Amino acid sequence: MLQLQPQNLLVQKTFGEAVEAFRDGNPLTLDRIVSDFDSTTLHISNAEGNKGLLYLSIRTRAWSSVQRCGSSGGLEEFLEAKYKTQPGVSVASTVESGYDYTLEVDLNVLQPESVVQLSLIKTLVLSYPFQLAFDEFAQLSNTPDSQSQTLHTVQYRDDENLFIKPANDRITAIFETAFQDETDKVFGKVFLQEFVDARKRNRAIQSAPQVLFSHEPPLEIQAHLQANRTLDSSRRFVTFVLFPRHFQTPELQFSTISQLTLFRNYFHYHIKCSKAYMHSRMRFRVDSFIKVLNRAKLDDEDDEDEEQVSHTRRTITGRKVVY
Amino acid sequence: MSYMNNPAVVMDNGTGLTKLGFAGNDSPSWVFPTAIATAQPSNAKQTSSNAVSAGASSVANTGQSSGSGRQYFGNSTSATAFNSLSSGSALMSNNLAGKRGTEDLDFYIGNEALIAAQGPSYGLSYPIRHGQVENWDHMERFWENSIFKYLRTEPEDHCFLLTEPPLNPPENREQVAEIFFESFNCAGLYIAVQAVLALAASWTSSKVIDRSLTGTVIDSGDGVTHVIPVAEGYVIGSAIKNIPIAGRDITLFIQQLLRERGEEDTSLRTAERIKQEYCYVCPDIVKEFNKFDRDSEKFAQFVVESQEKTRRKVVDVGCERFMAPEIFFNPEIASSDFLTPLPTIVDHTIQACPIDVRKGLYNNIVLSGGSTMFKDFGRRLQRDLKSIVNNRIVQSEYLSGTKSTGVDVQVISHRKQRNAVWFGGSLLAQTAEFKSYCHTKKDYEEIGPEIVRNFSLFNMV
Repeated sequence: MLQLQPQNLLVQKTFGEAVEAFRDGNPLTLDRIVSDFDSTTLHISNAEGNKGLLYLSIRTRAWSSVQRCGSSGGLEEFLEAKYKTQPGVSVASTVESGYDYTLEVDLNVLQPESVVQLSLIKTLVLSYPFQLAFDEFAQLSNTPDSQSQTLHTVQYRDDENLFIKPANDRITAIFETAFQDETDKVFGKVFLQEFVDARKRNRAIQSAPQVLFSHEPPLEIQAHLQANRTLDSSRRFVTFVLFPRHFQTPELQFSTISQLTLFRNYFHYHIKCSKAYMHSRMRFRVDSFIKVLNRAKLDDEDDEDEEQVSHTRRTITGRKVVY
Repeated sequence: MSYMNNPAVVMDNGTGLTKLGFAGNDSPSWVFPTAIATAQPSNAKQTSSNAVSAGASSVANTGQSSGSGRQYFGNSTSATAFNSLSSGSALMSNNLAGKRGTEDLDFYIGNEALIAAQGPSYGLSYPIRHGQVENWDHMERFWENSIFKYLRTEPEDHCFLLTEPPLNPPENREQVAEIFFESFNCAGLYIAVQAVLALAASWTSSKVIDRSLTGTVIDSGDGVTHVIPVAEGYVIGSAIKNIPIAGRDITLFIQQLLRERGEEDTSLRTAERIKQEYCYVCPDIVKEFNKFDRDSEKFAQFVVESQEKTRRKVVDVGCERFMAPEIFFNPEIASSDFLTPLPTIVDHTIQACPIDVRKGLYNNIVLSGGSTMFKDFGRRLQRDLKSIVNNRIVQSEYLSGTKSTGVDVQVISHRKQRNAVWFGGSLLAQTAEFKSYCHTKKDYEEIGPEIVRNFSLFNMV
């Protein structure tokens, strides 16, 4: 598994099972918590008294900051527009308490494609600021020399942020990352450098977005950060520069967004994978050392005292007789 | 801290099946085989060409790296898009150039592993044997994939509850802690004994009045059946008994009966389905057989097997409906080397425990695992065990001349029996105080892996 998938497999499986069980005539009783990366919790539950109706609620750390990116109610409208076209999915009249957003799913008419869309709900929430940036880019690109003052901030973890800044020829996405663990910091540095160097090394990926990596906040967000808080030195900034070719068509936009929103998870997943790989190499090495030590062991007979020696019988060739 | 609101992850890695899910749910989110399919060492020809290119790379370093760069950054999203460099020998060789690839990520777990292993390029292995982890490399990668792909959690944000079999050596616990804290940086870790969790799961039964952690757990899975006495949350290790009869033996026994009768389809799959759908435990094997002889029509039922939707085979189901689970109570009908019935084993186990906990152990016998799901299994066990106990009481009253206060035998069966261990874990991990029982990453760094040798027990109300 080289890359993480944008959709939540568990949501997909749960809805798939629910639809199947419903069609077979014995609908499931569901009250399930499902989790996703970055403090995201999804809740799938039955509507009261109607087994054909399910609720899917989402609560995510990024919600409030994503909401602040657009005009009030913009995010809800955006999600509603995305889900309106899916048969069987509608926005619930009331949001479940403790959650940010609730969808109502009618199992009678739910299609497999809609199930996939449901499992993408977290990606869709995070794609809202990107969509705003794409829209603003479209306006800016018509009028050259114009400068945008917008800077979308998505606080997707307690101490990590994503900044999106549209300009008239590009969109810049800047990840601010911090590591809890010292070892991770070292691994992370290697990985981030690799992201930057990959373009230099490999001619085949010249069309990929440019990646920059720095300890100081990039110019785009410097003013914003200085105004808001004091900087500590443990932060790292990863900048992705998106050119129009990365978001020309809706399909491209979707793949760009889903890969960028998973960047942090992808990154940490691979740090963990490399640690696991290192561990397996260490175990291999220890095993080979143990083999060497075992080979160097002296024979038992050298340590045995007289009494025991008299008990060991030998064949004519000198081999020991084992009782 | 942010992880405080996230649900804890409950993982029960068994010999046959792994149960994964989140605390607070009533059933595991994922149940799949504890299997991992890894890329097999490819043939000798490829290996030698690797060695050549590896040798060349030291000279022309840029050429090699751009070549391997392609496999990192290929646009394919599938995990199978690895080039020929991926060979098992390169993974473990001491040659540095062999380590530029991503072959350590080329594997599948669970049901996907079973499918992948049907092809030529993957080899299947089961990292857990007899309940204990045998291959830590594979287990670490199994966990990695289950956390990130199937559960989609960032381990730094969640507490983990893992299970271990009774009599698991503490070194294994330390290994688990090393993997979870060093590789995954998990926020908190709790390792619970499976039997204790099975006891906790039985609290959902209406028969249980006080929520105590004293009782006898009969855990019967696919490979082996354990009888485990637990006193106030601690396993009495010296009294644990194993029975080499479990799910697989029942399936094989059904298959044998089907073959003897000359049924049309005698595959293991059919036998397993008959076991799951038709078998039950009868009160008395002789009476049941007489009933069956007189009126065999009543028992004959059909399993309709559609083989790829083209042909249909009809298999009669006869006496194996009650004969198969009977091997727990009369093992001599199936095996010749193990002859002690289950109720006797349970009695021996409890008798091997300290005298002051025996009443509690008789009073709370809890079933767990798929092979205890047969209808009336609990009832039969309770009846047989009661007669053994009563006989002993009568005899001791006769010998001592005093009056016994009596021993209450109670076998508890409940609806969550199949995944009892996981469910018990989910129950305990959703409590508010669970996080305070976990060892955190900070504790681990302060004290070291031996910290997981002790876990405080859940204080029961």
